[in-house]
Amino acid sequence: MKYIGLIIITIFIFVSLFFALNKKEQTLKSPLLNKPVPEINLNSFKNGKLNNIDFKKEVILVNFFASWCVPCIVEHDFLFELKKQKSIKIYGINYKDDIKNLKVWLDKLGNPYSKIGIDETGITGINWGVNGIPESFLIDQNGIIRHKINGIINEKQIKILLSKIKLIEK
Amino acid sequence: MTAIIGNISLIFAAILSLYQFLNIRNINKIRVLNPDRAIFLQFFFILTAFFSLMFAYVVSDFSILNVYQNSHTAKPLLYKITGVWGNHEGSMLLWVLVLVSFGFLISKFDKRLDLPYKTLTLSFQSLITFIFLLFILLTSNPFVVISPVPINGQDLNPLLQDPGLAFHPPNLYIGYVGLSIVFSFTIARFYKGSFDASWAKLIKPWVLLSWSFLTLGISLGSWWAYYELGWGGFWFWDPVENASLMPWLCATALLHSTLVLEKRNTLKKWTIFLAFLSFSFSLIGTFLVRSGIITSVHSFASDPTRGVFILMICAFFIFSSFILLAKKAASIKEEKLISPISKEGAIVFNNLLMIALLLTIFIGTIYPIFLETFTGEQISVGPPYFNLTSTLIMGPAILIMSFAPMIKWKKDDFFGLMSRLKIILFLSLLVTFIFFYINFQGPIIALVGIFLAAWLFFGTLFNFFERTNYLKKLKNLSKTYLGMTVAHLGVAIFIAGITGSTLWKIEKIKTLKVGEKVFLNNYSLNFDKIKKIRGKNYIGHEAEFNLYKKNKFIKTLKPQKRFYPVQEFPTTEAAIYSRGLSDIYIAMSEPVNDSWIFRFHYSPLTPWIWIGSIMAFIGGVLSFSHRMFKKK
Repeated sequence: MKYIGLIIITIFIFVSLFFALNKKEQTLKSPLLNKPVPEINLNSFKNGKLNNIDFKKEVILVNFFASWCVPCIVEHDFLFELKKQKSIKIYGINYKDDIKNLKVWLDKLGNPYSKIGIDETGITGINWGVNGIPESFLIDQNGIIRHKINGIINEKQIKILLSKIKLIEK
Repeated sequence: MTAIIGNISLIFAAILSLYQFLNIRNINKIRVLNPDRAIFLQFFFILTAFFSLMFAYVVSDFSILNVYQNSHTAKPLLYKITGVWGNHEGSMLLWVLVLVSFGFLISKFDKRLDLPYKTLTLSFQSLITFIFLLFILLTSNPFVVISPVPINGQDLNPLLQDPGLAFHPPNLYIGYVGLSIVFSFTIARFYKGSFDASWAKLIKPWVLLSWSFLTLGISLGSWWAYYELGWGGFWFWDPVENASLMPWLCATALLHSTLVLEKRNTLKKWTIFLAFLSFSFSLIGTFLVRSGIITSVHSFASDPTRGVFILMICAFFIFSSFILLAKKAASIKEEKLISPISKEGAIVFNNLLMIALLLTIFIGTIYPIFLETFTGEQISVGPPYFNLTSTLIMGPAILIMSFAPMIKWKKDDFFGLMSRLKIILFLSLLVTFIFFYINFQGPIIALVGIFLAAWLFFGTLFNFFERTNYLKKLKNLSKTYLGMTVAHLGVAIFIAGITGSTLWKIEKIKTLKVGEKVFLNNYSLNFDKIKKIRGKNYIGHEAEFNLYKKNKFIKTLKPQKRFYPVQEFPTTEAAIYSRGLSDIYIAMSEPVNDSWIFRFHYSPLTPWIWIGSIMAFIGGVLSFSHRMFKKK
């Protein structure tokens, strides 16, 4: 029993590390979760504006994308797939892109977006805490961010999204 | 196809390793699959899996998720290959490859082992392999496929696309994982044989090899940080750096305590303790880096289930090994008491200092994690804490290190020893004064550093002269002793290097337009031009500086600022002019209107850090080769 102190310390270290790991998982999520949408005031792709007024009354998916972003091509089909399974408005935020390329890109792949905001400077990306493209935010009817997806939306993410939307609509 | 071969190889290897471990009781019976063959097959399958992944990277097979996430067609071939271990899954596969390679090495080349003991050792090694393969298959499989197949990949983190870093992980892993074989040797000894001098002889070369590669791996990482991160420093006490330093300190202590066990047949429990502790710290290091618990350049996308899994692996090995030691401790008899004025006395004292430093670093590394968990407060324990504690602890260790090799085993004459030290003291003080005299101003502590380096240097050299009878008896000098001398001299040079580099460094941050000039010590640097550059997978700017010393042209230096479009990531490529005694270092930063921000360093003695480290590595390898391959 000479070693009891040592054993207790070791157990304590392991238990703490275990808690630290779980805590880390929570902090990895966006700090914007369950907060109102950050400031947004962008020119829209086809006339008009995309700003905070657009985030009221209905559930919306905001998708940061760009024509230079290779994973976005993969994601694009899944956005259509999502719309097939659930009629939901998707706003695209075109991040640091060339408008000519964007046009070609949309002509080629189709346009799943109800509205596209042009974030030429990337300032909206900064306000929304975007780490990399693509990233998506699910926003409820009160304009509160309820879910965030880092990376592409795929089959698995669509399932998660649908269950989140169900929860919001309840 | 590649993914299928990879997956099947991993599964076969896992089954084989489990089989090998479960057969642990039948060490004397003849088996269908003898241990050597089983280990060879494990090695073969893991190697196949590893090369499959490498092949997928080389041909840019984006149907494999891991390749898609970490590679790109435009990436140079070298970084396609090294990209294999530039990510979590691939690097765990490398981990296991090194693990089985060590098993294979001892089964094939270590002729000193008798069959039952070898079988036992390999069985325990297979247990480690099995658990890590389970980890890979369940949480970190590099052969997950995606569909539809993407057109191109997301590229490797550009910071990692660098020769220094490309070879840093493999070396570090040889060191880390090499300690696993020492661990298996130790566990097996509890069931077969006893902890005597012959055991110390068996593990010594493997400790030496691990230690040497840890040394090399850490210095490569540090060299990379020096010229790639653009901060002009070589060590930042980042938790991930500490994670590699802790097993190194432990292995250093182990290296010396096995020496005592070998020569004096004592310090048995302590040596076992250190063998366990060394492997524990390589596991803890793996946990810290791989679980994503700390955020740094090393941590990749993190999935908490992985962290929990590695944590469980750590807990399993640490608890089971130390409980085994505690239970059997009473039956291990230490034979002799240790006199304070003896070689073993000096080694014990240095061992304690190493472990004290290890604990200090460990506390500094995990304290912020604990604080954040329990209070939510985020702090970082930085260089002031680590620099102070490590200097205070290493100071006395270096003092002793200088003359420890001169002391006799068992008991030595204190006054006789002191009289021999006089000449070393005189020479060291002389060197310190010379340094003081040639311009180097700076804090007093810098002179202490130089004194310690000189003290160690002359002490080691003096001992070398005594041993060889002033170079007359060079022929019968053992390589082990030569290795020790080279390694200790390396440490001396290394200490001078860090002293100069940290305490005498001159730093200037300037905003310059083309045509402007900056002065640094005796040098002047003319900002001549700036041009756009384009590499295979990056674009960027390159500045040209002409370096003059007292109006004499020396060299053109070209620092770069690169931008990797696929990852949207900028990197800094510092330009360094090294002339053996000092470095001139330029790192390029952001443009401001038509001028650019630059960071200039004049860092004296910095090259000595790498020279010293490489000497330590060579010394270790010399001793290893002698112990491993000497004729009986």
